[in-house]
Amino acid sequence: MSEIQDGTDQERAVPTEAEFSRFPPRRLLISFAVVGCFLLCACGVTTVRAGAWIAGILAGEGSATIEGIRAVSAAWPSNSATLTVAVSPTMAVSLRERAGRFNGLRLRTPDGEMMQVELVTRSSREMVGESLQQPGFQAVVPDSSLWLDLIDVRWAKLFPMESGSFPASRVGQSTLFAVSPVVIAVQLDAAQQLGWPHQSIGWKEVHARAAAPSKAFRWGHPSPESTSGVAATLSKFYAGADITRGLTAEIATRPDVIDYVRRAERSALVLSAGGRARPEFKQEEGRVHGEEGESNGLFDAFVTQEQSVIAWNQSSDRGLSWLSSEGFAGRIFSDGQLVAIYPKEGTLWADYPFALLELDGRAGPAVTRNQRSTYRAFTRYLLSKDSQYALLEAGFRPVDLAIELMAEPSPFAETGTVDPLSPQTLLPLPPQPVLEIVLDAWRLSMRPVNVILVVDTSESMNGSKLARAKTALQGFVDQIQGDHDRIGLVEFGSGVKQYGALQWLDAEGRSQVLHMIESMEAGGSTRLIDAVWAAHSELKDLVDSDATYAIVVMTDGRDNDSERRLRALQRDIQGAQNPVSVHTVAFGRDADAGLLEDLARIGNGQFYRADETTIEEIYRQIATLIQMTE
Amino acid sequence: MIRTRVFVVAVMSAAVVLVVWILAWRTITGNAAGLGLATARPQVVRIQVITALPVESWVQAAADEFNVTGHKLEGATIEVEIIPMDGLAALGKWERNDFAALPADVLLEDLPQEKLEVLESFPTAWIADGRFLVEIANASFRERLGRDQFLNDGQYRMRPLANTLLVWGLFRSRSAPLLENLGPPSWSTFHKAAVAPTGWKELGGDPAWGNFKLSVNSSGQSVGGPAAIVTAAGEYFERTEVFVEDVVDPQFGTWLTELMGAATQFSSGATSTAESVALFGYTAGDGGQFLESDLLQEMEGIQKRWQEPVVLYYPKVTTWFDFPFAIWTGPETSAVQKNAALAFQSFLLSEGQQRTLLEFGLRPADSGLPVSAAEGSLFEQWRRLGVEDNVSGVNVMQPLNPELLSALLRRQELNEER
Repeated sequence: MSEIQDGTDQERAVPTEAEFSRFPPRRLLISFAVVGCFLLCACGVTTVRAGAWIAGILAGEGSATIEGIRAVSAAWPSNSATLTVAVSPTMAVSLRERAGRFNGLRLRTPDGEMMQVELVTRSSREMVGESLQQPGFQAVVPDSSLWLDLIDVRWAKLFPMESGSFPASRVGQSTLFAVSPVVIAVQLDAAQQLGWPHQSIGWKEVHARAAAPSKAFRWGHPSPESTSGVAATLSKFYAGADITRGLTAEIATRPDVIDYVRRAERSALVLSAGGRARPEFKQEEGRVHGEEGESNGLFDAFVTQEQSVIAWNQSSDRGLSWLSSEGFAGRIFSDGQLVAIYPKEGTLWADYPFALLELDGRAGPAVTRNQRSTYRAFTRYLLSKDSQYALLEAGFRPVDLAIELMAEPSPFAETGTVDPLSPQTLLPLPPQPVLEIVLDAWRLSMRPVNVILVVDTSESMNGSKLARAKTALQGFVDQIQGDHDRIGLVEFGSGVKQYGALQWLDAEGRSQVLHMIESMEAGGSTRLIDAVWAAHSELKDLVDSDATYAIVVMTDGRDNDSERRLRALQRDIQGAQNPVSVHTVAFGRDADAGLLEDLARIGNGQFYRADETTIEEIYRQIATLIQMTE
Repeated sequence: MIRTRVFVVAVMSAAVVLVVWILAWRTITGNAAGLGLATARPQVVRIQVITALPVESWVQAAADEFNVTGHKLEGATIEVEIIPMDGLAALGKWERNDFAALPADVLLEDLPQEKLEVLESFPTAWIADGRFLVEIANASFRERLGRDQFLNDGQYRMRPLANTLLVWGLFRSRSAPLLENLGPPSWSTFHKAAVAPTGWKELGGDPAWGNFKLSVNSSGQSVGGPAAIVTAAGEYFERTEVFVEDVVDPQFGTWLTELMGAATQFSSGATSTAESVALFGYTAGDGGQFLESDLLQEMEGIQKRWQEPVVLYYPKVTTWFDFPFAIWTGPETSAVQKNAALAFQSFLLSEGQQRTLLEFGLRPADSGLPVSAAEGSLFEQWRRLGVEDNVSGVNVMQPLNPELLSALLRRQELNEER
């Protein structure tokens, strides 16, 4: 046996001649076995992969998802073929319809992944900010190419190259698929009073008419988070300087120009992204309806894109639906026809570039090869005849020049309210540093802000809630930019734990407020009304006639320990020398929403609900709202 | 023994059955990519060709035809993918090494798998707007890698595919008053129009037209920008070669700033000044500088949308673009891919394709082929708008060199900071 174990038993190990004749040689046998095993393994691997693919299909992976707005995470698999696109509100409806049809085609990439397009809605300006970080989207459709230029200019500043070399670019390939000029949409009768259609009308006429003491003409425009808003705001600078081009930083900051812009800003109602307006917007809305009945609209004129005029006149209202998120639907204008005024000084274009971002993987996943394929396929789809006619039907000018604008069934044909051969001239976009001044023009017209943050840090705020609240509060302070603004802070629990009187927001004051926020700690009960009382006591007697006064209250619980009652606070607020607005935030499910709503109503402010995911955004909105209050 | 035999036969039979099943399944579904053995033997050679925007439509159409016809190389089907990209943007990517070319001291076989995967999307060839761009890229490669990556001779040498040049164009309604008041189009004419304080009112046109608007690429991010400034400098200094000292000359700077005050610098989403004019009409420019091919391609659309054409005028000094097809010779692409690119290059230079490019307003690489050689030639279609067959009388600017390009980009940076 030992010999056998040593491998020396030749008689047993080597087959005889006869055995050779009956069996293949051992070497051949081993070869067959090896080949067989290899084939088995290969087939096994293939079968497993095929099985996984089939299982994926059965599980619904890769099937068309319902398109629309949804939260996205800034992570995707390396073979992802799902392209998430941030789209501006004015194009969202049409593009969502197109994306739905594209997804229904169930196209696949060369490696078999299902191509999908998902949309998230962002204002164009928000896209710029997010694109400079690691966004949850890989492509953007802002309402104008000017925002893409802004992304690249800011990107080049973040990652400067040697002078004279090629600047780094965040924006990759981009394609236009529909355009629409920015116009002043005017109600037919108001347009005729302005001289339409016989006289050419400009921005200056509209500014002057809105500023007339009779207040008979109401106009508005979006904030400069969209191209319509940029055009309207830019027009004020040009009109203020009495020029039609060559706007420089020196001219834009001249006192007479700023004075004109300030007056023009105050004569217009400015809507910010998503349809949220300044408080007086609601008051104005109430006044209009109270005096003139339900059928009257809020505006005689509103700056928007030509497509909105067509959509409005077709009664499809697509173009204005983006303004309606705050319950203004159908009341922006009266029921009659709108006319598109192409301002004689010039205008801008909404040209909707569909651009792929060059996410290079530095701060998160890079754009995948499959996503690039989806981008190209969706681009081709948007440029197809079917899509181009659909966009025409919605009131956009298609980029397919073979499609006639003035032939039936084009909505441009013989309407008389839009002119496909206009505009004739352009409102020149100034260089980027000047544009930044224009984008922040609303700051020129705002009053100084005196705001006190009232923050509940009772025991229930312990943990991640307090951390999120601190981040939101810090964001709020960052947003209040003027040196002439002041912020205070009241941190409360069982009593007032920290009281930070109003601080000027110079570097030192800002640092102190931020330090107070950072040092907040959870503990104790909830004396909400007492804390608001304390804040109001500081604000109510301040002597600063031109300022705005506000309290922002945030709590996650119920008042269970205050000495003062709501009615007393109400009397105090209503009897105060300064009008102090009170905005309230119910943080989480356990907050006393009823009390907070009452507080906001008494304080003529806004009530918000927030959770840990939305608290930052809520504070951001409040900061904007307070600064835009007149 | 018998048991062993049975086992071996069973194993082999099972393997054969499975292989047959898989092959049958693959044949039925037709979906080979990404599945098991499918990658063992390449059946498809994919190449990516970065393509300058003015020839993109033609090259894309040619690539579609090439792919459909099923060209093969060593038994594998060639698939061409076109990546449209402005020449200056592509040059920037080469210079910044955005495509991840290997450093000189790194060998392909030393690379880990994930780096090899990145190279799968490495461009096999580049159709730049002009030879000068490839030469500037080569200068950068010489500095970084010690050698040219796009060759001027040998099997893989770059070959020009088509020609076009910069011309003037004016909307017909605007051309009459402008020509009458200021003379034929030139940089000098447009400068006078640009500085007219009341615009068209004093230029003899309709005051509702506003200021005179010049459609010209003044961007530092596309190849048309530097090319425009060089031709402007050529006319200003009355010579065909421009130096760095010229473009930094303060007097020229002032003149150019006044001129560019009328430039509309329109949409970055549009691929050319001609496309901008087609989409945005007079707001993009009452007239200006265009690539002849772009303008001819867009002319029908311009007429349809704005109810009037743009009339062509040939300048005294211009820049030509010859769109060389340059094959990357580095190790990042395989020999098969390089040869596939060569096959596509030959296809583009075939007589059929050279005739086809006339339908895109491009002049053939072979100067012996007349511009009327195709039935759908845009040169024939728009002859009444001023198109000329022979433009040999036009003076040609010397091509850009790296120093001049760098100076022009610095000038652009300064403008953007103002």
